[in-house]
Amino acid sequence: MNLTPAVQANVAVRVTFMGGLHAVTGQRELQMTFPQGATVADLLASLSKRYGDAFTCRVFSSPGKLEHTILIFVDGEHIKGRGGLAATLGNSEVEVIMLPMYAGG
Amino acid sequence: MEMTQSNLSSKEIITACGMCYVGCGVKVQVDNGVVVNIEGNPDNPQNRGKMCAKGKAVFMTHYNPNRVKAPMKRTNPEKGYGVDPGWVEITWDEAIDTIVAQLERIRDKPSKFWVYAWEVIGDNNFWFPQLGIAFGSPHCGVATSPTCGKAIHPVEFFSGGGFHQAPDLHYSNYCILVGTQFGVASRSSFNHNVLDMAEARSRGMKLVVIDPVGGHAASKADEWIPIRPGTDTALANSMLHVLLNELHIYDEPFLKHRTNAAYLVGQDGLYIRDAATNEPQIHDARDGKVKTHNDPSLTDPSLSGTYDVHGQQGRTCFDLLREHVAKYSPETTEKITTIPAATVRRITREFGEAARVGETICIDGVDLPLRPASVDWARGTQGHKHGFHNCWPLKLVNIVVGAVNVPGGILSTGAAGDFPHHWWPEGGTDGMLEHGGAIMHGFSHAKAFPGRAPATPNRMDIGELFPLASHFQTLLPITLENPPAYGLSEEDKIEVLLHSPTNPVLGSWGDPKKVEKLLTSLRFIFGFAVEINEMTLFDDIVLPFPSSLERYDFNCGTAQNNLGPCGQDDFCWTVRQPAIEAVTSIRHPQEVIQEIAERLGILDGLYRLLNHTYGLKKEYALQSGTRYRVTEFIDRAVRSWFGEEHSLDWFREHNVLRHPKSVDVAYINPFLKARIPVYLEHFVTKGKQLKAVVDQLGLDWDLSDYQPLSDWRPCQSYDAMGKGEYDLIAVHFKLPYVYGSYGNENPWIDEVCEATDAYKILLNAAVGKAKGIANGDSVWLQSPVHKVRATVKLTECIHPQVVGIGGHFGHFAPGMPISRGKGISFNALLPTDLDHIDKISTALDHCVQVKVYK
Ligand code: SF4
Repeated sequence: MNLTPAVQANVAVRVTFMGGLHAVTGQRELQMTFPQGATVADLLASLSKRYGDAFTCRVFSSPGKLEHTILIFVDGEHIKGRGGLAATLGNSEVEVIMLPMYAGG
Repeated sequence: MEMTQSNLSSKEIITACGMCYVGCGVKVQVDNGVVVNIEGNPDNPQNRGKMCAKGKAVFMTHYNPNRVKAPMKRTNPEKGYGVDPGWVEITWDEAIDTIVAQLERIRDKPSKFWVYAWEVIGDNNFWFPQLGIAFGSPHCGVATSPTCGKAIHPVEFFSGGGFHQAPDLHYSNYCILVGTQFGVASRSSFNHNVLDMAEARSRGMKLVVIDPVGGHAASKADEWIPIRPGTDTALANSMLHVLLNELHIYDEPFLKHRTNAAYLVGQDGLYIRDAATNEPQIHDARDGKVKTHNDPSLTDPSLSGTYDVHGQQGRTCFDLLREHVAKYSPETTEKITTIPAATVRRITREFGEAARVGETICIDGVDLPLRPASVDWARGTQGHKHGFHNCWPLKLVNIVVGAVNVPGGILSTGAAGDFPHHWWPEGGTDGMLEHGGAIMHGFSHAKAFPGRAPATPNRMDIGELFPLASHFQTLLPITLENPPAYGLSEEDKIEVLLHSPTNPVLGSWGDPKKVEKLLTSLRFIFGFAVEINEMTLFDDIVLPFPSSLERYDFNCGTAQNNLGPCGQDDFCWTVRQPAIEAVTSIRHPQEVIQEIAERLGILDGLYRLLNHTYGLKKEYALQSGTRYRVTEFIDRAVRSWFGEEHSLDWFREHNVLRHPKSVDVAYINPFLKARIPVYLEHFVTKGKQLKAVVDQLGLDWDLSDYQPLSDWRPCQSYDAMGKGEYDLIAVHFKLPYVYGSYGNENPWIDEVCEATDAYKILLNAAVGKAKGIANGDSVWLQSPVHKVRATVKLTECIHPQVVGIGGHFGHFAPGMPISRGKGISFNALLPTDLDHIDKISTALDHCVQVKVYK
């Protein structure tokens, strides 16, 4: 009997938007599927396509470089600790957060 | 029963003062449950045992009989100045049910929620905005002032690496203060700064104060130089001209290797970039080749000259700066600033010589550049129509002599540290300093480099049209008037506001009619309150806020995390703990926020944000599905940061944790792997991008401030002088015993204000005489938007074209019987429209034309 699990073609990703991104996406949550091995960069590329320039210009300061106010967590862990935009997505919960400026005066 | 001395219970609690954001260490004496005395804690480096008048008066605020002690709701739906809300006390359940119902109503349009979180005295500065972010709102911030912080933080993060700046009084021999009373009467940590300032002066440091008002700082200075408001760009450019073109005093190695002074710029004002890497280029005098700024073979960057780069003529940033400031000879700017040319030349020479360019000092075995001279500036220079450029060239005066983050120079506060974790500013785009350092890693600080992409707004404060600014709340009363003008619709309007226990009505905007319109446009306001002030009058639900004597805070003030002592003074961490228990109807706001978040189903999101902001290690992180008492949260935070042995109980007993600073943490510049700017190339790009967006929106905005080098441009008040009915300019100044409007209702502070004439407006004696106005006369003070009765104090110590107004007074709320009707609200005089807003920083112009008459 073959006990190897069937190869999964896709991963299911639940994306949550917090902070200012809701105003861009109009959604608090989104269910997406990606081929196995997809990364956070792929997820953002897909979101950029879906939501257009309004999303891209708020999330990236230059191509491939996240705006300093953007935080991304995959399964509760900051992507910094998982290889940044190259972090791979499993069947993941992804939070994309746009922090407002904090510093006071 | 007869009470005897022996059955009185007496205890001393070590904690942190909460009458301003400095968070000085204090010892509170509590006899039989009553606070009877408060002293400075000598073990706390923030204040070394000293206290200011505000802190000493704290228990009069705590025992204010008019304090809010239970939730209340308004019964009168009508809102406005002078309208009685008809408060009735309600239960916490009713209050939270109402709040949650209002937030549920806008759940699908979360940008209708606005969190106004300025509570820089404690943790709620972080907790309040996180609720808004978890809810999905872009309108969350902790900034409050329409001026303060608008330029200093953006400038400091890209040119120093930290949140704020402070002269290194331990080594300084020459200190110029422009529009600030640092070390005397304002700014963070002033208990230790006051001591350092006194020591520096007694060992011979020369203090020069340049300010329209000869106030507290000027009274301690060797020299007070009155300046016409809003002309600091002209002064700074003159000083740069004298240093660079007349005296030739500048730090050549520093400029070559640690700034972009040698970067080559083309005709279009942009860097000439390497075709392959897109990196800016530099001419290397050693081999005559042009190479990228990060080329390992780069040895001797050319500061001057014109170089051919693939057919493009490249000039150095340094040459462009020198040429630019040559337009600002002291004779030219004398007509603008009213400072005699000879004075500018003299103080610039004194400053340049005091900087001792080229000298070094050995500290703890490490050789460092010694530059014992600095120019410091703060609020006064920021509050102008061209506020950013009014400030930036003042920082450049320090940069050209290499007096940045080295002994004796201007230091960045909170920029770097190695305890309890490592934080450090880092380079990024174009090899320039991009990522400022902050002990709170999750703190999203103000950044003006490289700036954001301008876009059609979806924020009601049109933050997208200010790609270099750090906060935008000042714009709300303006944008509200015509949302479609900015591509917004009525649908986008904010409906629900949560505010901290501060007083934005008096302190956050200008024209009171527009402020009233903004607040009455909101459908539901809930806020925390200590007393019923002018802001609270607009609330639908008021929640009681614990006083600083009955509160816990892990983070007991902005000064602790961002504005701590400079130089090699010890790092310290203090936890605020209650000296006395609050009545049961007062709840810790952190616990209230958790309850609201749980009811809204966003508690996990809130925890994600808090865990990140506080940098809580995995084992101490707030866990899904659990609610925490404030003490449990603080216990987790201190153990996460300082180790198991430093629990909340440890802090309850010892309260202060100190750690010595190493030389590299105290003086970061020689160790920084990034350059700082003398030329703001990205302003050119951002200006072009912004122009495309505003053109598309059909807005006719003057974007000339998006230029890489600073030019002086007049504020409206400058042009108004002498042209029509106004002949004076009103400016605001700070008092050492007044922190915003916080504490104005304290009877002891009121007494100090009365005794020092703080409620009066200052007018030059000769001007008063010419107008037939005598000391103590009651007059009308009138600006283009507001007219108010004021009492005059005549003085020699004010620029003859200026009216000086101190503090944040002019209360009218019935809940403030002590301060009501005393002094005036300066902000109320300020026209509030886009013509008075700095298009770079969003600062609201704080010099306003006025007339004074009987
Ligand atoms: S400076 Fe601030 S924290 Fe320190 S004693 Fe005065 S009010 Fe309290």
